[in-house]
Order: sequence, then C-alpha cells, then structure tokens
Amino acid sequence: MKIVRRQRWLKLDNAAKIFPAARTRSWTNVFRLSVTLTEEIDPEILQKSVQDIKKRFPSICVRLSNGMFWYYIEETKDTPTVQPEGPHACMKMEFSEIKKCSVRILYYKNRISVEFFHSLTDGNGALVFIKTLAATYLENRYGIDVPHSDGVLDISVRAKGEELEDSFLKYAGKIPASRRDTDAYMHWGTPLDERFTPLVTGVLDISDIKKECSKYGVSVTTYLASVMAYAIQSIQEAEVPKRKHKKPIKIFLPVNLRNFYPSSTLRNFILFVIPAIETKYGHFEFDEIVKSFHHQIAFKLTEKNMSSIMATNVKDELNPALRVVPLFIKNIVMKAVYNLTGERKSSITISNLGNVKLPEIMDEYIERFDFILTPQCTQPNGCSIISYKGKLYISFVRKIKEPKLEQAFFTTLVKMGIHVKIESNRR
Amino acid sequence: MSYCVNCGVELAEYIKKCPLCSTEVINPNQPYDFANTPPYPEYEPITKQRVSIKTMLGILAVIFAVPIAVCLVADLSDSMLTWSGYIISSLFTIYTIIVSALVIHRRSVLLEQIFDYGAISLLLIYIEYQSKGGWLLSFALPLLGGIALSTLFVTFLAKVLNKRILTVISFASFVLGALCVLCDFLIKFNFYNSISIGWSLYPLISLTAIGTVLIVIDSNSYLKRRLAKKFFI
Repeated sequence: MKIVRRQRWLKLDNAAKIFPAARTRSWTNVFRLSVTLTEEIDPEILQKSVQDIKKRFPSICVRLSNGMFWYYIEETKDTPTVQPEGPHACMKMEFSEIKKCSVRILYYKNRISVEFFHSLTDGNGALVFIKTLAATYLENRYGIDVPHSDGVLDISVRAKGEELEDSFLKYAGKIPASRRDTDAYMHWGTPLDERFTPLVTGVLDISDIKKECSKYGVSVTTYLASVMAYAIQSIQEAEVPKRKHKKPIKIFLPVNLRNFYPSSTLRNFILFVIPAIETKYGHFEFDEIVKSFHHQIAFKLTEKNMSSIMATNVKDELNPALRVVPLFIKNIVMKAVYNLTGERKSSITISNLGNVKLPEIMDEYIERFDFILTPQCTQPNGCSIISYKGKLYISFVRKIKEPKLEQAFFTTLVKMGIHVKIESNRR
Repeated sequence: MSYCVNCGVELAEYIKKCPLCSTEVINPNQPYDFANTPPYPEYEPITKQRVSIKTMLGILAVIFAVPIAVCLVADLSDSMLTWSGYIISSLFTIYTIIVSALVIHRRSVLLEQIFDYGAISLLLIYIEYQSKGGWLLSFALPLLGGIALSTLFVTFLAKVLNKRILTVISFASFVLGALCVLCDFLIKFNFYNSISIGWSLYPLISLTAIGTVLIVIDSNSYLKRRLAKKFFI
C-alpha cells in the first residue's frame, strides 16, 4: 500500500497576515535575495539542490491557501521548479501563482536568485534559506563539505519547532502602544507599467562608508537613512515649495527582532522604527539629520518599545470577535486599515540585511550577494542594502519613470567623497 | 571604467546611458561593449499573434449571414418581406458599426463616429418608412443629431486637440447635461405638446457642478498631484 505523506500546514505569523489582504491588482509584496557564484549555474544541479533542502524548510517551500477565517501556508507536494531569470526583478506574483508556490527560484549566468512572497519569511529567514541552498549547490557541484554554521542549516535533520514558531505571539508585551502617527511626504512621478521594474544598484566600499560613519559616530543604517532623508528633502524642496504643504520625511527601517529576543524562527520576526524630520520647520543640514536620526533610533529601538508594538499587533489577532469574522470580510477591513495606516506613515522603506557571513570554505566560490525589495504598494521606490566581502550593495527598485530619488541619493554620497559604482537592469 | 559626467558615479561596463540621469556614456578609451556580461537578461517584448482584420471581417460576415438567411427563408414563405426587414436592417447596422470600428477607427475616430451615426440614421429611416410612425423628423433625428454632435465634440477635444483627461471629462459633463435638457424638451414637445423642460434641470445642475469641480482640479497642479497619489491603484 502506498503511504501518502500529509502535507504540513502552518498558520500565518502575525506580520504575514497583512500581505495577502493588502495585495492589489498590480502589486504583491515580494523581495529577492541573490547569490552570485564564480562559475555559471548548472540548472539541473540547482534543481536537485532545491529538492534536497525542500523538507528542511517546511515554512518556505509552501503555497498559500485560504481557510474560512484565515489564510495559511501549506507545504507543496512538488519541489519548486527552477526557472531562468527574466529582465525585471521582483515581478508581481499573481495570486494564482502564490497559491501554487509562494517562492520563485531563478538562475541567470552565475547567479541564483530566490523571490519570496513576504508572508513566508523576512529577509533574515530568507538569507538562511539562500545560504543553505548555495551550500547544498556547492556540495552537489564540487563535492565540498560545508560546515553547518553561519546560517547554513543541516539538511539531514528535520526542521526544529522553534524555527517554525510565530515569535510575535511568544514575545509580545502586555501593554499595547498607540498606532497614531502623522502622514509622511512621498514624492511621485509618472507611473510605470507593473511589468517594468527598473533596478539601480550602487556598489560601495564598506571601508569608505565606515569612515564616514565613524566621523559622525553612527551605524551604517543610520548614516544611509540620513542620506536618504537628505535626498528626499531635496526632492520635496523642488516639488513642494510652500512650507505649509510640506509633510515630514519619515524613513521606515525594519528591525530584526532576533537581535532582541532569543528566537531562531525562520518566519517573519521584524518590526520597525521610523525616524523622521519635520521639514515644515525649515531646511535640515546633513549633520542635523544624522544627529537627530541617531538619537531617534536609539530612543525607539528598545526591547520594551518593541514588545509594546508587538502587543498592539497581536492584540487584534487574538480578539475572539475578530477571529470569527469570515476571511473575505477580514480582507476588506485589513486592506482598508493597511491603506489608512500602513504606508502613508513613511516616505520610503530601507531594509538593511547587514553583512553576510558564510562558512570560510564557501567564500572562494561566492562573489556577491544582492537584496532587492519591491516598493510598497503606494510608495514609488523600495531600497534594500546588503554587504559581503567588503562591498555594500544598495539596490533601488522603482514604480515610476523618473529615477529622481536614486539620483539624489547616490549623488549625495558622491558629493561626500564616497565612490559609487552604478549597475542597472537597463542598458 | 567610465564615469557619468553629470552624476559623478562610476558606471558598469555594459551601461550605455547613466541610469540616474540618462546622460550618454562617451569614453573613447573604453567603447561600449555589450558582450561584457550584463548582470540581467535583456528585455524581450512578447509579441502576441494577431488575427488579421480581413479574416475577422470574413468570420463576422459569416456569423451575421446565418441569422439573415434564416429570417429571409422564414419570412419569404408569405412571398413578401415583413418582420424580417427589421432584423436584417438591425443586423446590417451592427455589422456596419463593427466594420467601422475595425477599419475606419485606425484612420480617424471622428470619421468612424460619423459613419456609425449614418448607419443608425438609415436604420431609423427604414423603421419610420415601414411603420409610418411620424416621429423621425420631430424626435428621433434631432435626438440622434444631438447625441452625435455631443460625442463628436468630446472626441474632437480628446483626440484632435489632445486636451487633458480632466478637461475632456468636465466638458463631457456639460454636454451630457445639455443632452438631458434636449431629450426632456423633445419628449415634452412631441408627446405632451408642451414647450417646457422639467426633470432635466436636476442632471443639468449636477453635471455642470461636476464639470466645474473637475476644471478647478485640472487647473491646480498641486491638488491634482495629491489626488493622483491618493487614488493611485
């Protein structure tokens, strides 16, 4: 008798619930992580590697399904098929595609890319997945033995319970924080067709950036968020000359909560801080922005503050009256709440995954990592940062024709004496 | 290595134009080399296979010919055309409108509309001739003429003068309001023997108000930008 293995299913974590509801006809929240090797990718070996690691990641090789009251994720029966990469990164995932398989595994020349629907995991969980995939690929291709450290998981064992937990429920505080916040300034331009996602990547030397950061005594994320605010300020000054019409510039910075709590979940476990400058008060010099951001981030980025924000989000999810509301009504309400409170509170999202560390043996086979974040639904740009082997890769994807933010951002860095090399998916 | 003379950034070897400011890269020492491993595949537009217009017209002619033949055979059993004339002339009008949409639309939208209204007028004339209703000149043609002039005017604004969309919608609102008045007047004049207007004042006032608001929005670029951002889908 043939034994049929039951497909494992998981409830969506607290942060993931919003993404299926918030999708629109032209937008789904997708991000991409890429690893570039020194040699061309063999698709057959890559497919085998995906098959090898599939069972180790029962929360990532999944499809989204809808129940009566909530969405859930379910392991796919088949291994995700590797596909050649197209010219545009983070293309919209149709909902029908998400319901078949919520992850895309792509290859192009020396590069392996994985695109994730954000309900599955956050950047850190995704990084573990791609590191393990790259390690398994290298093992299959070159017969090397990669140690299970620095985020490379042992694929011969089953997934641990704590890797699949919803850490929001575990670590949420008791007192919820207020959600009230003012709207932020967002620049805009000529909307592009959803099939085109111009991508601009700036490659910088970490040593250059660190030198600048040490001058101000701030972290790389704080420094780059300040550059971004300064760039957006220049756009706002050109587009909104009247002071009374100006809105604050707010930078949405996702925070990896694993740094605050002993969680090893591979699901979403991120919150955010939103440093801001109120441009109605007048022009901000760069030094002022850096100082202000440094203090704002330090003030907001505390364990207690994070737990109270988590409590706010978890409170609604646990409300018995809300839980019994049918999914289609929840979708409408969640979308409305997301549109009213979600994206309007920030000018842009900058997600910094930090410096990638790998087992030493992998370093000689790997050239670089890239991290690409699709812009939020109504925001014109998405910005993501990752660094590896002394280089910092800052990628911008935009939904408008004009690359004004990218230009303002990178030219600001150039004026500060930082060397920037530009790459793009356009020629 | 090449640098953008405008932005000051270094550009990857495969880039022809600076992705930040579109300034062309001119470096005599390092000419553009496409083979220099671009990091993303080239965009290849997907061309859809299209059915030719001639084929489409032929298929449509066959589709329309079948009910016409059936009606003719059924109606000719009494050795003269009676009810089938209405069906045949209506199908002929529909076919003419489809043909004009497929053939004339590309050349001129105005001409297409004139052609369509001509076909509808012929249908009305035929129905009047058959039914001897006495409503053609006093009601149907003036109303059709009003509708024709309105759509032609709006199309002229949009396609020939290339006015902005909000301007076109605002004028369309004004014209629609006027059309309601014309329709109201013609109904009262023909069927109630009265020279007055009644209900049409409400749509006239509402549509004039909508048109005016749209003109105000159109003339205020800041307001327009804000609204475009708020209502972007």
